[in-house]
Amino acid sequence: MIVVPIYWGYHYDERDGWDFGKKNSERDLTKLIDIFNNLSRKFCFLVPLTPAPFLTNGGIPSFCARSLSVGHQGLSLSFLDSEENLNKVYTFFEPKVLQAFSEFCHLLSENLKKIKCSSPVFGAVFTYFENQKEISYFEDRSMVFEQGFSRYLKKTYGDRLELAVPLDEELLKLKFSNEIQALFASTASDTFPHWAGIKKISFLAGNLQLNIQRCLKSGISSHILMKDLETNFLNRRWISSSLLGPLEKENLLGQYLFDLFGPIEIAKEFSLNVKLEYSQQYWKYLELISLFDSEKNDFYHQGLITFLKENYRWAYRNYDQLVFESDWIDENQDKIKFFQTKKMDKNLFVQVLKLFLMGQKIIIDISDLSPELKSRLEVFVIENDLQLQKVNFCTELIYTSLGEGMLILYEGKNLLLSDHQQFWKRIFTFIKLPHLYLNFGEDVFGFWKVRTSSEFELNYLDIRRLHLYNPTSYKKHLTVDVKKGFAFMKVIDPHLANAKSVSHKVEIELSPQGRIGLDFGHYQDLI
Amino acid sequence: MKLHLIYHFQSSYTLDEHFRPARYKVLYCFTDDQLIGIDELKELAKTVPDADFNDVSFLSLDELKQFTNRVMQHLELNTAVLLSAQDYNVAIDTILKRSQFIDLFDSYGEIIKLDIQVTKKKLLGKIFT
Repeated sequence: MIVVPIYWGYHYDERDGWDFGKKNSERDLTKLIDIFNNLSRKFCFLVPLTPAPFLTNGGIPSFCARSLSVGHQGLSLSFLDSEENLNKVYTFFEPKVLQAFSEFCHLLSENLKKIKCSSPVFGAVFTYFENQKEISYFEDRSMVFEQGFSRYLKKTYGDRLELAVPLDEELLKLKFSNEIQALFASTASDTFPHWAGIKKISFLAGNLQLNIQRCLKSGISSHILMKDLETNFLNRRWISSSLLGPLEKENLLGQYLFDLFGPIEIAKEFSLNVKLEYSQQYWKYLELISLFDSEKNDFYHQGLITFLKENYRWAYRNYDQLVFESDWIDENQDKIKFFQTKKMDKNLFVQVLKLFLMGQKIIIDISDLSPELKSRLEVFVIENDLQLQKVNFCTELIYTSLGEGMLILYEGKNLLLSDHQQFWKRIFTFIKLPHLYLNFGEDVFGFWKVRTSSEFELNYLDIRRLHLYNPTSYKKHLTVDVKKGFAFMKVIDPHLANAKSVSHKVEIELSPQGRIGLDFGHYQDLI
Repeated sequence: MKLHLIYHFQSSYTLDEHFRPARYKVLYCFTDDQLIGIDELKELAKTVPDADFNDVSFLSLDELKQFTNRVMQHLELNTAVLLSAQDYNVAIDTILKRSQFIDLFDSYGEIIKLDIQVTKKKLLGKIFT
């Protein structure tokens, strides 16, 4: 399966205008599609809805590249690509860009229709992470953006608007930016008959700080890149390593990427009708805990992320939104789900309560619950004849259950910093979520996968595989505490590493650039 | 080896009736070889009076230069190049390759030499205390 990012700026030049191969064979997408078809390869297209940092001019045609895009710090965005060229990112707020994008989408769609190509077309929103916050390359504070924003204010609010504080202005800028982004998205979705939706794709080393590090003599260490990769993985992003050069990607980072994103994971994400069976051969990511926090900082401030890093490292992931569809609900039935109620609407709140009725374990921070949702909750409790247990432990807690379902409500805002660890320890002791304890620091990286047990492993409920990588230049001695309910099974593919089982522990020695996989059988579910 | 520093001038504003004056905020600070971590910068900013060390920002260009001097002393460097965000934006548009990146600071930045007076005072201070 092949994902084809479209470099739409390349299909235009001053002399030829738009071209799909008639004037320059390198622009012939039909020929590319023929090659895929002849080789019976599945493929999909990615049409950028934002600047693409790995392409010249951010991917836009040169006649639109007039004004550099400026990031939130006030610096122009430019990024080293894999060949050490510095790609400048130009603003998408120049009116010409949308016009050219619309023309391009129309022409590409006509070309695909002519050859009856029914492969999916995705819109790509390219992003990067900076200080745990995800930022789109679409975000811009250039003069062109500011001029567009002024016109927008005038048109939308006339002379009525008075901005009291900078925060108001920032919110309006965000609204303006989102509306323009939506115009790009709707232009593409309305044009392509096989439109398959929008994918957020995050770039490794895609922020300015890491870019500057890459420009310096010492370059960027694989430790920093793996940290960036870990952040992306925990935020469930699809990751592009296309900014990185061959030397940056070689060795451990390359192996980490390969192990983390195999062909099955990619096919699954891009819904290319690849038949996936949850068989012995199929390892999926082990995700015991799912966090739903649109702001992505409340759970952090309440100490939950710190607790999870310590006790459930790599076994939790953040979601942007709840996908309330039967397949997703079934597949994620056993995960403990945490929700924030800030910005939660009635529809989402009802869906969360339905998950509880379906037997799922739900924990909600009700600090920001609106009066409307509070009354909805009260009605829900009466309708389902739920018995509420109220406890005061570090903060106000309400617990109820129904069949397999468990619902815990807590006032997160009242949690004191000094109480964080004991609060979460008590909550997780109560919900009993068995897992292995990793006894090592943050400079070793890895992830978990899980599969069902085979017919020869019927003693086990599931098999968990821990992948570990040491990007540092020091030898690391690590231990995994094998708790009750788990058994160490075997070592997988060690490289500059070894492991041995001692009483209730596995001791691991990872040399610099070493990696290892460890299989554990989970034989007793304590829940 | 030089120190390179990119800073951004932030206008004053009032938020929740709290007036925040205009400041010079350090965005990135690095040698030819490597980036200097934010925690290290915060510690060094504590030695400059009136600095907002959490934000690594300063009330005047003079204070920013004092800070630069402090970082140079700490890293035992003699020269620093200061580049404002506006100048960076002009400069970055003129280069195409990684190898040109460090050179743009010399072409567009303000070169500062280590203030030996400050260093001497510090040395004398150490001797007589």
